Amino acid sequence: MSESTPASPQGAYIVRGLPRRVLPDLAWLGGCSNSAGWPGPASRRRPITHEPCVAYLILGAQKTVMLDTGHFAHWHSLEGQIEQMLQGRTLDYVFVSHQEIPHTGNLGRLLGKYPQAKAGGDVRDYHLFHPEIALERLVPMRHGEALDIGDRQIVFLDALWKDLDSTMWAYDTRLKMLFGADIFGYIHQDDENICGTMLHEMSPELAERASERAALPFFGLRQRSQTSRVAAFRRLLERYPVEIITSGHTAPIMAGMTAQIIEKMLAKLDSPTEGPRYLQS
Amino acid sequence: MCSSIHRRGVLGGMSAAAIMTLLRSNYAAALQPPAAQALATRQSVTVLIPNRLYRIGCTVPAQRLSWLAEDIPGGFEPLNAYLLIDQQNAVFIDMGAPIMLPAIREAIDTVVGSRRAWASYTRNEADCIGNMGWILGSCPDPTLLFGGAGGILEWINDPAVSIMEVRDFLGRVPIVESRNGTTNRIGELSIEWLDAGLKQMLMTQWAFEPSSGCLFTSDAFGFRHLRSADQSLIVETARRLPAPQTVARELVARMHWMRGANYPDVLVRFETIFAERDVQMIAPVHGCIIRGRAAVRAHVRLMLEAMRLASEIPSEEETRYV
Repeated sequence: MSESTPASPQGAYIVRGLPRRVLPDLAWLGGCSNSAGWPGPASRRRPITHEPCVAYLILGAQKTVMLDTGHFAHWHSLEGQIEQMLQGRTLDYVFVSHQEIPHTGNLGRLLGKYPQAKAGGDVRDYHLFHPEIALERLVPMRHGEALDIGDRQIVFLDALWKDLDSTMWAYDTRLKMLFGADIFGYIHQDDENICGTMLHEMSPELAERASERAALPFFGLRQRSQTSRVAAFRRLLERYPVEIITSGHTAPIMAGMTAQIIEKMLAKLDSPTEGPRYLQS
Repeated sequence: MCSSIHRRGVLGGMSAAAIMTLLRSNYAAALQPPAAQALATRQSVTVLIPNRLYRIGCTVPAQRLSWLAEDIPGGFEPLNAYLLIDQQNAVFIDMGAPIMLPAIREAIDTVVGSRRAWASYTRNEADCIGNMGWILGSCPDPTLLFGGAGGILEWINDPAVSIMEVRDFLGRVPIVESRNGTTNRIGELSIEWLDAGLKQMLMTQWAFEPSSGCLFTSDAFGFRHLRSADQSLIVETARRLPAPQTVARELVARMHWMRGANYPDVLVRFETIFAERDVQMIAPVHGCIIRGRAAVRAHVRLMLEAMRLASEIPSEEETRYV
């Protein structure tokens, strides 16, 4: 058996360029996973790849909401990022997309830090993973139900592409923003230096390259035609017009790029040869 | 939380276990009592094969669990991790959800003892790695068996430990690869790692240990539940099996992708896994353990039938957007 104990261990979860206040009421938080920090020989894989592991903070007129909690391994930075972006406000709600550690691993710490906050979504299983959270703070929300935070609603939606069966998406009615959990995630390379950068801030060539490497962690993509789901997504867009795309693994997609990125992703999903691609987080 | 620079100077020469002991003594007083802990009962270590294989776990009400097709009123669900031992070594196959930490602690005290500890996981989800921090920090000479990708040592979620101190595990806990298609020989134990025969998450492993005949199946085969709190955790009979349609509905509650899908290759591979190995026990992360060749054969046949039926169950999310 090969055994390795790194002489100079490098963390696999880094923070560059974040947090950012994207809009007055939207903050982008978190960091990236970094393949150079993986245990053992995997750390020597080249090129070094990153994947965003991010969360978002919506600052409503009356209440604040985090969309997912970010990866547990980023908490060392994330805690301060949240405080910085809240600017003295408290955190009122956490939307939990699904119970996977990169998305909701910080739930216990968040609800411990903000003792009045509640988590909403498909909240099954969280009592097993966070026994420190009082059950009444885990609020089941179903498809179509919404949270009113003063100047907008956060609508809970059944995800069309699910990492776990319980996966939900969220829609901000004021920003017209969809938070898509694992959909619209992208992997970039360390040497591209685009951590904390949005597509519309890159050169067209870099943006094209960055939006090619979609991460599609959905086992079963090849086993079923995605045409009906793509059609359902288009119907979702009619009901919930989207101007900003976010997810747990992407920078905000906005500023005129949303429509083309959506079409690019739907074309990938509807391709008979496209299969699941490992999400490296 | 702490003066990290000074603390790192103090901790610089300490083992991972010593670090965790020191930190727990400092932070324990700050912990809130676990609110949901009362839901877990039968925190225990169960002998499956004396001096070889142990089940570690608890039971919880069969409600609010995402892998169930629906709540089972009055029912209970075992949550499981496993420990393979010989005289020198103790290998965790999965490390359980945080709610079963009392059982993990009992296993460390009563079974691991002074043995060298090895920690492996079939999936990097909280029901498999929930107690990884405690195990790596409390057991003697821990080694991590690593089959996948990602910085797993930084996934440790122990609310008693500052994240900066968790990162001190880096460089202190040896890593041994346990990739699919390989076998680790650990003392008298020989553990084969394989890609899961049925999975939802891309990076899911199964493990097979020939001396026990035990196949560790992660989130598959978890469809045998407890009708009462005191019912046996081990199913040893091929009688009174659930109906295939019932199992199929539960399959798609977890393996969502099967709905409306076509997967002959998955079925062939699933069958091959059992044809190529003398599986005498099936050990899932949740649900009852299935023991005995006859019971295993019957449950494998049932799973195959249910897997075929699962493809006929439609997905619902598309109908929500009309």
